[in-house]
Amino acid sequence: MKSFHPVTVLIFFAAMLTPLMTVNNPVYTAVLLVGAILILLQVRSGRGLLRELWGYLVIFLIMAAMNPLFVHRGSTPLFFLNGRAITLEAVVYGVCSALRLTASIIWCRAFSLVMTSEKLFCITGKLSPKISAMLTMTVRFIPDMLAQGRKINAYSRTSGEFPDDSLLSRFRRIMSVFSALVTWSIESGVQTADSMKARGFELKGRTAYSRFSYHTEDAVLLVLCIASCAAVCTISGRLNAEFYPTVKYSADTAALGAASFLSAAAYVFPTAFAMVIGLKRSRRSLFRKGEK
Amino acid sequence: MNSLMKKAVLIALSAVLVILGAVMLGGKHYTLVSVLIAAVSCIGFAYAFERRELTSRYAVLVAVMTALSIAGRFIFAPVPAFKPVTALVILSGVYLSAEGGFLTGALTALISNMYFGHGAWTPFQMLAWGLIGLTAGVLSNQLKKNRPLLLLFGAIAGAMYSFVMDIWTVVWYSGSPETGLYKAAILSAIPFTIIYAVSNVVFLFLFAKSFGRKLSRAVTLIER
Repeated sequence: MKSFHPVTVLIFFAAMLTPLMTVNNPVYTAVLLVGAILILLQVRSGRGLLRELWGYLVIFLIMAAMNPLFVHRGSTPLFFLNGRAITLEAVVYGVCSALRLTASIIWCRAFSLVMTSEKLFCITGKLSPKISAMLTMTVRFIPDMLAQGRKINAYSRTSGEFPDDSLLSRFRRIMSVFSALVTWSIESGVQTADSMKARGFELKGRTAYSRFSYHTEDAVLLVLCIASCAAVCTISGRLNAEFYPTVKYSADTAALGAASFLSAAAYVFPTAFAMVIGLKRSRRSLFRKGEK
Repeated sequence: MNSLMKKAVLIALSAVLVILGAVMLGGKHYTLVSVLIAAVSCIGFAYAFERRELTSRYAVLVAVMTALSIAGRFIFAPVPAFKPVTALVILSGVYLSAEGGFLTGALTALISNMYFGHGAWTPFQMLAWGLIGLTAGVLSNQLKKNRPLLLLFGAIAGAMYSFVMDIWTVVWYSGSPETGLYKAAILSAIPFTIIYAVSNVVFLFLFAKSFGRKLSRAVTLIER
């Protein structure tokens, strides 16, 4: 996934998240959840995978419990809590939307991992070079400020003006550090601005630099995900399950099952495709390493 | 400048109207519609911004304010639950311009999510903070003169941010605006809402004056 063009990446994830927002069908959502975990495994590096997945499970359980506790619609009361009915329908609906929510959280997590600042600037650069320039400046200022903040902080610690013994005095110290940092940032910012102006910042015709280029696989992935997203959104009306007042899943069994299976397969395909491309690339790079 | 502000207000209003329309007309895809509206209004703003002249000092000042509000999240890490982000967005709206406020808010959301995780909520967050900055900029003259009003505005902005994000949570969770769930979300978020509001007020109370002096000086420098 990481080797694709930023625009492809953005559209791919948008096309994955859109049906999660429009279709409410547990089987379909489960397929998308599998896709999310596949992509996450692919883009994630480092350890702690099990712990992360455990976190998603906890989120899922909390979200699933929320709905029946606060929504009392539905016609099949299971038991009563504080005189309020906990209904079967609300429980089922809670589980279904928790599934959707967890799937979208994992998709978003994968998106954050793939969409590096460089890729983000490529997209904003296409949209508006000015905004892109400001984003780049901001991202450059942050580590500068943090470093300067650490310096000021070290000074204010050793100066002994604010003893670190109570929360209030710690708060006052941080406030004074922040105040000094603000002054420093604004003054040095104005200098930076003059220096940028001297180098031609205000001239016309600014473009954004980007080292990404389109490839055939970008086109293929784009066609695939846009087509499947459009298809699923058009038939989403027939995919949705009904929950209130009673749970109705299969009003139109065969058509619904076939439609959801087809669209689900279409969604799994880009995942598999991305993995194959990734595999090919890594093999090619291995081969190149062997040549040297 | 003035016509640009009008445009921005127009975009914001249309966003609010379409969200209301979608909810009242009983449209089905609340989540999708809300994300799209938020994204479209941010893109509309970017488009309007692209067409205007940009001086390097103005650009740097907005970038500095944005970077400060993000760095503030890290610098204030030792003080639990106290984040100066919204207060800084308000100050930048008051002292720079409505446009500068919107930009600071939206860019803060966009960039800080690079550290804290992007998601479908990013456009919504950008719009929420951007609108706080925009409103502060529109009310700039009153807020500059009247300090209690500024504090009140800070408290309201903190609470509104929390309420708006709760609408988002509920629409995202249940696919439709359920009043029961919305009440639950607001109730469970009460501690955070109070912390948001109080920390805004405290920050503005302690900082508004000195910050205002620094920013006014910077603005004078820009115009020179």
